[in-house]
Amino acid sequence: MSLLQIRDLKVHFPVSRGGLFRSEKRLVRAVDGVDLEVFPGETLGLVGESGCGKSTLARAIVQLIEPTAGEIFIEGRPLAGISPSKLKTERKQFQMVFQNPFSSLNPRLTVADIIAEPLKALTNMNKKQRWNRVQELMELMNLNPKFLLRYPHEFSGGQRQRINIARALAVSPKLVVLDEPVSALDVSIQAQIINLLQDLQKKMNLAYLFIAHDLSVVKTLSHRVAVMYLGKVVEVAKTENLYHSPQHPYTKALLSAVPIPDPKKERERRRIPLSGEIPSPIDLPKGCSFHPRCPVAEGICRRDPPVLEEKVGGQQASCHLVPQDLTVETGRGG
Amino acid sequence: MGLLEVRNLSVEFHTDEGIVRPVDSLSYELEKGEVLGIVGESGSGKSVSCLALMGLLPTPPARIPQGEIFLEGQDILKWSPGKRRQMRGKDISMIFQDPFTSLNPYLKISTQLMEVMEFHGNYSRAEAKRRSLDMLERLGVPDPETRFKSYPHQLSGGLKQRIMIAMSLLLKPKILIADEPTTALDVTIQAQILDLLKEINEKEGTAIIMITHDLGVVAGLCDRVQVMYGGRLVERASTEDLFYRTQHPYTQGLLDSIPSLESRVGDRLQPIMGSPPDLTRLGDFCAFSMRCGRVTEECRAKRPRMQRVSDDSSHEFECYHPLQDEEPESKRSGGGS
Ligand SMILES: Nc1ncnc2c1ncn2[C@@H]1O[C@H](COP(=O)(O)OP(=O)(O)OP(=O)(O)O)[C@@H](O)[C@H]1O
Ligand SMILES: Nc1ncnc2c1ncn2[C@@H]1O[C@H](COP(=O)(O)OP(=O)(O)OP(=O)(O)O)[C@@H](O)[C@H]1O
Ligand SMILES: [Mg+2]
Ligand SMILES: [Mg+2]
Repeated sequence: MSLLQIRDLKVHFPVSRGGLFRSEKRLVRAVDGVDLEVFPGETLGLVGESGCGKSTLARAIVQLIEPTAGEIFIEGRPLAGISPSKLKTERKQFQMVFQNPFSSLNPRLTVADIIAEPLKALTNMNKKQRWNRVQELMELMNLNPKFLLRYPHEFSGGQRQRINIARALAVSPKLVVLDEPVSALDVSIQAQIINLLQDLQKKMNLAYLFIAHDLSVVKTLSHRVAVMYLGKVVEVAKTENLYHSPQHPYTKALLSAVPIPDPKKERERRRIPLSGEIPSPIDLPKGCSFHPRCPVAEGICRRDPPVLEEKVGGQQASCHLVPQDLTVETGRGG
Repeated sequence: MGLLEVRNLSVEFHTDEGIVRPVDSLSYELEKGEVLGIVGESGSGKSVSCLALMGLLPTPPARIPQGEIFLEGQDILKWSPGKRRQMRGKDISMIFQDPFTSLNPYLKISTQLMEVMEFHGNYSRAEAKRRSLDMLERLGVPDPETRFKSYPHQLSGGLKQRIMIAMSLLLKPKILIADEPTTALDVTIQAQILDLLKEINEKEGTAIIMITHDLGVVAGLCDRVQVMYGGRLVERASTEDLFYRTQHPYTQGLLDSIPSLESRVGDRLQPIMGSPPDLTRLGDFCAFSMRCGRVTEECRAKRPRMQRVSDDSSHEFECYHPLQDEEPESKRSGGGS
């Protein structure tokens, strides 16, 4: 059974666009109908355009924002409408590491207090037990224990992010939602953390929803990868398939834009340029929301929104121009 | 004399554990129109050294015990706070690593962007608005008019980052310090912004200091690179020399840590062993010696001096046992496949 299941999840934010003579209320469709599953012990990588709704989706999953519509299940149990005490237990299962290594640490708390926060809120550990657990976590994260009584502003970006990860792991969750956890780190510490995340996953059968922009990092960690564009998942597949035979034109463009750490290769690299204006999640284009920038768009793309469906080659994509795998579609039936 | 010259710059913080010296006798130059990359470990003083340039270090706890910073021949450390403030944005501007706390949460984006222009220039409100919107458009911000009226919390990380980039480019500075400008962005937008930086560098001659952990970005954009470790510069070279004729073991360690697009799930990466140096305990020895596979007594006894690969080379490193001593042609060079 899946550890996390999301069905047709939507998160819309009302905003006002004030003109000189009129002010209209409008909706930012940050997450606009997402279906996803994460299985125990697996890593699902989540990539996509800046602003496409990855962090919003993550926040909805860990109950920091109320979804506008849709359902979230933990091990098959619906999250909607459960009692506050139940919610407390359920929250222990899902922890999150925030994108922002700077403001997500309370500047008035010491590192020890920060890491102990979830232990205090969600467990019955006494002070001594909490202190021991915090020590253990500092070691795990390769942080000098003498930092424990210092304050966040005294740390570099990389050090702060390790404190964040330590905090998320404190209550031994089953799923950790990691929102760009290594993008602030140097490549050596990044490598340490990726190895560490892999070790922890094996040891504790942890599942990760791993959000990142670095597609090489995503490849190393993820069993499956989902690609988002403007509030929707446009492709989801096993990692090898997605990287070797991307189906959706946005996935193709994304992969072609990955910088290569080799000057000669990098300067010769051809990327698929995406021209055209990036649409806003307020004024979603008709048809496929990628069509204004899609290098291969046709008439149907401007008219009808595509759906996420099984394509030949065994992955799901939402694109009119990628042939559908009819055998799978008929076999599923509901 | 170059556009910018930093000489023996040190920065200290006074903390409860003693004096931390995240920047230790740093010297370098930046020519007009050049793109200089700074890479190195987290906490090695990349941001702090640039904040010192900008005159934005909190003093106390920070202190600059020694050093000079020449901007077109004038030592800006001797300037009055007022003159430094005039310098910021106009002569040197900085895209901060932390777009989240550097935007004021209580002010609309429009106010923050236009403030920059009104402080420095003789721009009318309408002109300031037009130029701000124009810049947001060049940076690929969708629906700039609406974003203009937003507050920071209503924007995604990537959008906030682009607002910061717009702010730093509005006054056409001579030097742009970009501290991790694209880490919060997806690679297609990153590519677009790097193209824009390249264009501004080529057309307007803006010199760029690019601080980044992404060695792919360095490979594509930078003319020269300097590598920092423990507050010190340990290697500097042209981009090609740094990648293909690596000298310092720390630089090699960085290159070896990079995950590859060819990797498979579960592959182990190869980080540098050990942990970062304690900045309160650095002295007259190689800061990397505790983690280095090539360490000898010499490394622990005396800090190596910066030396050149050969007399006519600009490739310099601080190491007694550089890699190219044994390997005449690096295995990384060629790039055949
Ligand atoms: N509180 C809010 N009010 C209005 N709009 C919001 C709010 N929070 C997010 N948004 C908008 O929702 C969209 C999705 O934002 P989100 O932060 O989820 O993107 P993201 O995929 O995480 O992007 P990034 O890669 O840049 O971090 C963006 O257009 C953003 O401006
Ligand atoms: N206000 C402060 N008080 C004490 N120490 C500080 C302060 N600000 C920075 N430091 C220390 O100075 C060192 C250098 O920090 P800096 O932010 O320059 O690192 P960096 O090279 O930019 O790292 P990163 O790649 O993680 O951004 C760090 O060890 C940090 O802990
Ligand atoms: Mg985000
Ligand atoms: Mg920094």
